[in-house]
Amino acid sequence: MDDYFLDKLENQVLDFATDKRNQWEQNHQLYSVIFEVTPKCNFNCVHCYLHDHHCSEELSYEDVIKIIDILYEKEVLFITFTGGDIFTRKDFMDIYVYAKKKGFIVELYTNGALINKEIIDIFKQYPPLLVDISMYGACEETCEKVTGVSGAFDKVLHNIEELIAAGIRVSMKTPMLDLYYSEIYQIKGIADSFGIPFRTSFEIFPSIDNDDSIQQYQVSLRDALNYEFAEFSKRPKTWGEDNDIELVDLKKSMPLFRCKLGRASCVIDFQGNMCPCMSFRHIGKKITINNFDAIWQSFSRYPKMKASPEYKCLSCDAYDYCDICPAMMQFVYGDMEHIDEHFCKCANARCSFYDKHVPIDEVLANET
Amino acid sequence: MVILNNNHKRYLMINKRENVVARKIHDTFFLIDITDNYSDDKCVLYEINESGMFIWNSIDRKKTIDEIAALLKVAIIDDIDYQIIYDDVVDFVNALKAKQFVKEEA
Repeated sequence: MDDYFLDKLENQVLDFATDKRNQWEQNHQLYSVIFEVTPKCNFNCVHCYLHDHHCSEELSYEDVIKIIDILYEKEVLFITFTGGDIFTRKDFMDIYVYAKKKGFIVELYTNGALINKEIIDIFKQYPPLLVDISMYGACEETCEKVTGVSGAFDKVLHNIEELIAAGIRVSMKTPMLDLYYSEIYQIKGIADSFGIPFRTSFEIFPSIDNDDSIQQYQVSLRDALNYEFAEFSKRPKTWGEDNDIELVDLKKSMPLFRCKLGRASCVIDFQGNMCPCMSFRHIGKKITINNFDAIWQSFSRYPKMKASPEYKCLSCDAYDYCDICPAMMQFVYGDMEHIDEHFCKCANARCSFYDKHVPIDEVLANET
Repeated sequence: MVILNNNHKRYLMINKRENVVARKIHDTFFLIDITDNYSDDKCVLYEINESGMFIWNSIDRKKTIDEIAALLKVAIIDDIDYQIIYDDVVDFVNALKAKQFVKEEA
């Protein structure tokens, strides 16, 4: 009878980089969902992919709860709430506490400006796994230029401080724009001063209406690579050591999608549509308890989807370093196998640097 | 904290603490402490087996450990001696008490 009832009650720190997560991904079992609970935002950022939708209708409280109940029944464990900004919903903390009490592990994406003492008091009682705060610049002037809101910068810093003091885990991310590329190390310095993780991204995608004008704020490829290579040089990384990495023979298996699309996670957009990921929101379908299984099942085709023999990327030497996203290519160009030269340039530069060990200056000299 | 030994408090009633939620995630049962603040960057979940889940679901502040063990005896198909089941339920409840997942009811 040893261990009959209780075989694992000790030492169960569940590392989601390994066993359970891998098992659920292999079995196509949904365990993680990003839920966009509102399109509304207190900021009006120049680069936002929802920028024409901040006034669109959001799901009612009842509809949000209904969706959370579906996710509970379908055995989802992680929910990431995002927006817009989640705290623009007056009922957000009710939604949050409801999800916590159901036993979800909850992450929050926010710009952090609307966090207040009342919210932090609830977080102390029911802590989120993480509050991930977006930072737009390293000073008030830049923040205002990007967000259109004055006085937000200091408020965000203050709220980060309060969250940390309350024992809440916080991280910072910055979608890098040319408006504040020159401040990148100062922003990173702010995160460092709080002792919190920092990450940045350089790709600015078109809006959900396929308006590419927001891409005018994208940092030049030269600057983006300059930062990436400089960071790599400080802390060289050995590829393939991460448990999370799955090695695939691209030429043999010819997968169209190299990400984990459709395996164990999905997105629910602000209209209640279930989508395979944020880049694939254009194929989302309204989620109900009756059609959930059919929608999720339909996503299982993506990991199995093979590229056509004509897909040039598969024979490209730099493919391992390429960020091209077939879902986004379909959305923008109507063709999953469309090749956007921007990604080719980026991948080739990385290949020169990482594989062929060409010095940074020499690689970047070829980029304008 | 009182640790139950196997010969005492057979008629003790226990109750779940409100901060602990049991969930089944794709054939795995977990006890989740919703007040966990993820200190040291660790997300700790407690995996229990089906029998553990049965015991957890039976804890309702009204049933004694004795009654829970009796229910489990009925639920288990294998012919296992009642005393063994009872002792294991006590061990499980003690483990839950150590983690402050349950409390004694007066």
